[in-house]
Amino acid sequence: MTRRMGRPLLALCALSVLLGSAPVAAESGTLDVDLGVQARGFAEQGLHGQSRSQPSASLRLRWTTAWDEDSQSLTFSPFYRYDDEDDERTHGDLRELFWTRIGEDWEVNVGARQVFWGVTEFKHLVDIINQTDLVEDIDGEDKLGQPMAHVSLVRAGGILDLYLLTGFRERTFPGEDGRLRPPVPIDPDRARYESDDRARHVDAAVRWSQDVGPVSYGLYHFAGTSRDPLFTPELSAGGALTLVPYYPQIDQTGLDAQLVAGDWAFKLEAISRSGFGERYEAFNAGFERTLVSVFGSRSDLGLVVEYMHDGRGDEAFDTLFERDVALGTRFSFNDIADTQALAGVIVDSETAERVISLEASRRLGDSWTVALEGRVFDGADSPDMDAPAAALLDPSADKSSFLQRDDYVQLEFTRFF
Amino acid sequence: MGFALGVLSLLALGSAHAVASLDVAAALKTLETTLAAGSPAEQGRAIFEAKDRIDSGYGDLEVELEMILRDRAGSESRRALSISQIEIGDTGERLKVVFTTPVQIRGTALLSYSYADRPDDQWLYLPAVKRVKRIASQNKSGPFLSSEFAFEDMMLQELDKFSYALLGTEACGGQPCWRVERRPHDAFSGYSRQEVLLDAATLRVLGIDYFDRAGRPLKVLRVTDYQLLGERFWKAIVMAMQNLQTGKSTELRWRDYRLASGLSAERDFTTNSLVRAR
Repeated sequence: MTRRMGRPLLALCALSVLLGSAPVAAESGTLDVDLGVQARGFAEQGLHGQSRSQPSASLRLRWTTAWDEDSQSLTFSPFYRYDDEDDERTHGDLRELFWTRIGEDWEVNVGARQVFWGVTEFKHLVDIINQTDLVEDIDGEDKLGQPMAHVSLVRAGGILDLYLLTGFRERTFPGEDGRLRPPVPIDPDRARYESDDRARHVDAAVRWSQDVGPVSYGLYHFAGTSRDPLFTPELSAGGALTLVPYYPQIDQTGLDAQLVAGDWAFKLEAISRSGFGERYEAFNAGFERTLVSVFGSRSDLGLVVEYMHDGRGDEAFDTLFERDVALGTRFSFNDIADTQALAGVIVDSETAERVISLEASRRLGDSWTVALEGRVFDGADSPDMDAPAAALLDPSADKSSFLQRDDYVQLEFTRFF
Repeated sequence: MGFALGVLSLLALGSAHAVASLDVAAALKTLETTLAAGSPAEQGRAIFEAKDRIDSGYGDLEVELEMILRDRAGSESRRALSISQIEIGDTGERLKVVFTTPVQIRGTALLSYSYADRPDDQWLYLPAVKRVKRIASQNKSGPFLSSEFAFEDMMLQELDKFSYALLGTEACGGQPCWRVERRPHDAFSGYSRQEVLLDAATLRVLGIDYFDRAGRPLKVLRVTDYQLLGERFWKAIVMAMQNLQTGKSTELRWRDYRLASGLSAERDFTTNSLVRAR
C-alpha cells in the first residue's frame, strides 16, 4: 500500500493498538474483533480511468451474551469498511443484531441475521434470504444483515424453518470510482420497486431440510422482493446515463441436495422463479472429490467440477454464468498454519469467456491471517469506451466484457482480537 | 457398542439407564469365560465388548480439550476445543466439537452421528460464511486440526467396524495388561492395524501402536493420566501421540469433564445447534 491512507483507515489502525493483544472477554458476554487491511491491485486502469490500486480497511465486531441457562442469547455484529478509492465501498452494515430463544426442539430468532442455503461452490443459486454485499467481493459470499422473525422446528427427522423477512435490503454496488462495475454507473439511490410498499414489503420463506442416510436436501419456497435487481438505463438529473435498479416481486421454489458416497460428494442446486420476466428454471450440478494424504504428504486435495445452467440463456442478464463449466482444485495443507489454496476456472461453453480465480490463506501466529485472492477475466471483447451506453445495450456483446480490464490481485491481513 | 474418540476411551455407548446399573464386575466375569475358552479373535473381541459395556451408560458428557502440537524442532502450537456427546438408544452416539482457539477459527464446529452399521454422518459449520457443510466422513485418515491425531482417532469407533485378536498378556508398570490387535474393516482407514494395550483390571486403554497401510509403524499413543468419574467411568486426562515417521507429536489435555448434564439430542446435537455453537 503505497498510497496515502485516509484518516478513517488510520483510526482503525490506531484502534488495533488500543485493543492490544488480550482477548476481549467481559463477564457479561464475549467479544470478537477482526481488523482487516486490504490492498487490491488491478492490471490496468479502469474503463473510466479508475485507479489501479484500491486500499481499504475493515472492522468487524461480534459480541454475544447468553442467559437463562443459555436458552436465550443476544448477538451483535456490526461491520464497517473504509475504502480509499470508492465512496460506495466505504460502508457500514449491521451484519447481525438478534435475540435467540431455544427450546427442546425449537428455536426462535428475532432481528438481523445471516442465513446461508446451498451446496455448490462456484455459484450460490438457491441462497436467497440475505442481500449480497456486492462491493465487498463479486463472489456473492458477503451478505447484508436481514431483519427477520425466524422459527425453526425440529420435526420428524428434519428441520422446518419459517421466516418473515421484515425490511428489504438493497444490493450494494461499486461507485463511479470503483472497479468491477458496468461501463455505466449504477444509481442505487433511485432504486424502484414493483411493490408500493417498496423496501417495507414483508417477504416470507419456508424451508424443509432433512438428512436421509447419505442424502441431505433442503426444499424451500420464497415469496417477496427479489434480491437480484433488474436494471433500466436512465438519464440522471445531470444528463448522464445511469443504470437504475428495479426490484420486482418474485415467487421462487428452490432445492439443494447433496449425496455423499465414499470420498465423492454429488451436488445439485435448482430454482424455479416467476415474476422476473417469464418463469424460468436454473440449476447448478456437479461433484467434489476429496483425496486425503495426496502425493505421500499430509495434504488433502479436493477436485470440484460444476455445471451452471440458466434456462434463459443469453437473456440471463443478472448472471455471468448461464451455461458455464467450472473446474476447481482445493489444497488443504493440514499444516499448523492451516494453509489452504483454492484455484478455479469458469469457462463459458458457448463463448470464449473465462474467469480464473485463486484464493489462498494461512494463519500467521495466534492472531493474524493473511489471504491472497486473484481473478483474471479473459476471452471477451473489451467494450467500446467511446460509446459505453451502446456497448451496454448491445445484445451480441459478451456479458463479461466490462470486466476485461479488471484483472486483480488482493492481499489482506486480518488481526483477530 | 463403540465409544467416542475411539480407543481414547472418552465415549461409551448403550442405553443409558438400562446399562447404568450394570455391575462392572459382571462384565469382567463374562469376559473371563470367553477368555478361558475362545480363540484369540474371540478373546480380543470379548475384551472390547466388555470395555464397551463398562464405558456405556454415561448418558451425556461435556469436556474441554487442549491440543498441543509440537514439530520436530520443538516449536509449539495450541488449540482449544469444547466437546460434547450423547448416547442415542443402544446403537448410536452423537458428538459435537466446537473450536475456540486459535481465534481465527473460533466458532467453527463439527457434528458427527455414529451408527453401528453404517458410516458416520458429519457436518462442518463455517462461521465466516454461515455455512453448514455436510462432509464425507470417509476422509477419516486425514489429520484432525493439523495434529498427529487423525479424524478416525477422534471420532466414534464402533465395535463391529474392526476385527480383533488377543496377542498376549504383558506387565505394564507392575499391573497385568492385554495386548489386542484390531484391524479396521473400512478401506478408507489410514491404518492396516493397531495394537491396543489395555489394563486387565479396569480395561483402560494405556496405549496404542498404529501401523500404516503398508504395515510400517506409524504412531504411538500413550495415555499417562486417568480420572475416575461417577465412581465408574475412567476418563483420560493426558494423552501423547508421537508420529514415528515425522518426529512430530501432539499432546491432548482433557479437563472439566461433566457427566449427565442434561444435554438433549434435538436441542444440542442438530445442525441448528452447530450454527449457535459460538
